[in-house]
Amino acid sequence: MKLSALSQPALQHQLQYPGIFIQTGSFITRIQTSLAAVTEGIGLLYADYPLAECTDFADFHIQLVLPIGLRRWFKPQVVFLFDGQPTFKPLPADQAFPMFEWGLNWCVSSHAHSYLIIHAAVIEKNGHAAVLPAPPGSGKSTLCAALVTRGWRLLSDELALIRISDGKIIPLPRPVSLKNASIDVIQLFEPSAIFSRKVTDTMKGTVAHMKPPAESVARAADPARPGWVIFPKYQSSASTSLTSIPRSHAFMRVADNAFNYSTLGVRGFQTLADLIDASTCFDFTYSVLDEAIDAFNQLASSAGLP
Amino acid sequence: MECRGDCRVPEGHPGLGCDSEVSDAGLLVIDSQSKLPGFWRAIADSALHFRAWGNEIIVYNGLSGDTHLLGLTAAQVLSTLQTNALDIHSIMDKLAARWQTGPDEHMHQEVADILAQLSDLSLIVPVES
Repeated sequence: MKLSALSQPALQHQLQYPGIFIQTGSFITRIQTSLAAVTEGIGLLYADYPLAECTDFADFHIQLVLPIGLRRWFKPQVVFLFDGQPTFKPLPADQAFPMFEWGLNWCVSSHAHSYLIIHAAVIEKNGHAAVLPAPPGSGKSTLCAALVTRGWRLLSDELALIRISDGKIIPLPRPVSLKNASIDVIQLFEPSAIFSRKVTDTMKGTVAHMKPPAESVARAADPARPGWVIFPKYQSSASTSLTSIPRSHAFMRVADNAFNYSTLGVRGFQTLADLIDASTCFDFTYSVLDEAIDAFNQLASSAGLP
Repeated sequence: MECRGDCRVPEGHPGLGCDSEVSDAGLLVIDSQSKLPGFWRAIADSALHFRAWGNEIIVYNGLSGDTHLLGLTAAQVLSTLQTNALDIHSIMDKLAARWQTGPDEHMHQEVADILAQLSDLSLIVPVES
């Protein structure tokens, strides 16, 4: 059953108790909250996601609640609970939905050690995935959002999961996190895209999340083969430029963007080395989204795939 | 991941940058006039994992958990020391044979630099002669 099968009152009721068991990629998360902002965001952006039965196993148990005491009423805050324990410092209550998204990222990146986890967007075309590792501010999510509105499949906006057992890239399609000017850029680029409400004054500035394409959610069980590792960089007025880089340099840069490379030890080294072996590696500079998409489409075509 | 001084990092790379001067061999230049022990060997074979792309080699040290980007010469020195404990002259002889050239002062300087650096990275250890 998809989440969209629940009416808004039913979703609200179930989120309060016993919670919903939602499947995102390989993970089932039990979510409990009575906060309207979280309920609204989940109803809007997770409509296409499958729900598991309430009796099913859940990988993560999370709650978003108001704190006990004064901050429940005065400048109210929200607390993220993982397995019933507070995990982060509270945030202003109007940041509850972004906190849910950030907390869910943390659940995966801190626990899913059967994967090498890279801070990267991943998109796919013709069976080959492009991994886009990049630090914040590089334009990674903007590029990712634009590509998935133009036929590329979204595997993840934030977390590239490389399965250690076979090196395949496992989808974790979730809403695409955009911030500041990127929100308006993508809204103009794809007016039919659905966004959560903008939340201002977060630690990242103003943020909003874009609903992932339904087809990407439907294909969340289909892994992809590595094809490219591309380091994107948005640069105002820059011409579109795709520059090949040595694999050894790409290795070091991807390792620097991995969450659990050190935790995995030699398995992390081998998994990353295999990913780099299977990929061609580029620096990519862009300022015009249409040109960027053309460049990516040419790459996919040049792979000689149908 | 830790990365020590031998990282040859692409320009603009934010996290692993090294400020020190880089030699032709791809290693940081340090004081090679300091006294080096006579013989060296690589750390345990099972701890070293390599992946080569062209003339650059990534080596993972399973004992320290560190990853290093080595130039070809440094990787050849390390590889040479995996099979035998050798002094600098024996290492130069082996490199000279591999490169089909004669050992010279420049090579001595370069190998001395590399040995000091590999030692600093805990990839090789001194042994009693």
